[in-house]
Amino acid sequence: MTGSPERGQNTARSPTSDPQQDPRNDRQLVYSARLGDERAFDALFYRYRDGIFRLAVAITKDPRTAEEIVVDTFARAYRALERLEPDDSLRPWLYRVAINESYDRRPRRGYTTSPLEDAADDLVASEDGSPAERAERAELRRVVLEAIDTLGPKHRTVVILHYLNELSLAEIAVIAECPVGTVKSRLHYALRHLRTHLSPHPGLRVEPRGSRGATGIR
Amino acid sequence: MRERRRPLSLGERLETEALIDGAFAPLRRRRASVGPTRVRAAVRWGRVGPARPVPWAARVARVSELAMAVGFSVFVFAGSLASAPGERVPTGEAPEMLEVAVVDDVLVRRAFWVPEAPSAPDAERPLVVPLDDHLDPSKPLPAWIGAQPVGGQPLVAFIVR
Repeated sequence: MTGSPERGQNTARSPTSDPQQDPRNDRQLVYSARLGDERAFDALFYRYRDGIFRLAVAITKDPRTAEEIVVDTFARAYRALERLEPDDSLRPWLYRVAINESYDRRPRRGYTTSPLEDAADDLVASEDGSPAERAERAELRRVVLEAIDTLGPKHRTVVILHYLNELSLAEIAVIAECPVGTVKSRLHYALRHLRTHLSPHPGLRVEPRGSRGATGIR
Repeated sequence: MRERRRPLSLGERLETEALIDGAFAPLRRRRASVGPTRVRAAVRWGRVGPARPVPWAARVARVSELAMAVGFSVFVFAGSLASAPGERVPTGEAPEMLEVAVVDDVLVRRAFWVPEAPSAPDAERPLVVPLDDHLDPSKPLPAWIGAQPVGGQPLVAFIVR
């Protein structure tokens, strides 16, 4: 890494010039990064940057804070390179750090700097349909996101990791450091809570999507 | 309560999952705009973690510490000023001169002993004080004319020449 004398000046060449296309697995990238391969660390960064960013936005509701969390998470990873021993994936470690960072910076109840629904407004404008339909969909999202926000941290984290970051229950279990059964239980509780919370809302009539499995287990 | 414990049917589950999917859809398309350069800068400058706001109790504690520090400093400074003249503490080995005055062409000296000092004279005995004559050090001082204890104070001797 530039400007880090302790890391040395070894800049081993990666198989590809674009770090975002690096085919090496996490373990290989971690070992290369330890030897001072900047591209290896960059490849890890680009591989997980957006996932961590979305997770952080979902928890903190503030894109700027989420970017800080991305930076801090990878800064911690850089400092921990010597100790990290990833079997196949660095993802559980990174996500665990990011979750802790996000809850540390999550605004207190009743104080939100930039609500999640506001953060998505710029993307709503690019959707199809009339302005009225888009407004209706935005309102629907707002209600659902508010319902997710009423969940406790453990259940909310499982919902975010599963439905936003599209992690499997097994991966979530590694991140949460609990058995897969516990993750299933939390997810089931969360869905039931959301169902109960959303059912009184008159506008919630959405057809089920066929793309996702009924059990949610991937 | 029974409703809350009832497991979701397949349709309910799919519907709820679709709602969550839809709510997260815009967020799923978002991308971070930071690059690895910012990570390098954070590592180089050693700033990792949020800049935490100082809680109210901590602020009060800091103000209290500051007030105590200032108060103690003022106390020490004032004490050092008060002791600056260096008033000598009587040891009792020799009488302490309180005042020297000339009254009707007579030099009057007033001195005292610390009563508990080993060499302090008994109040009943006549005093023999080996004082120096500061006006004329070559001459010894004449006899004493008396001594008296002054209400719990050190013994006081009046010297007249």
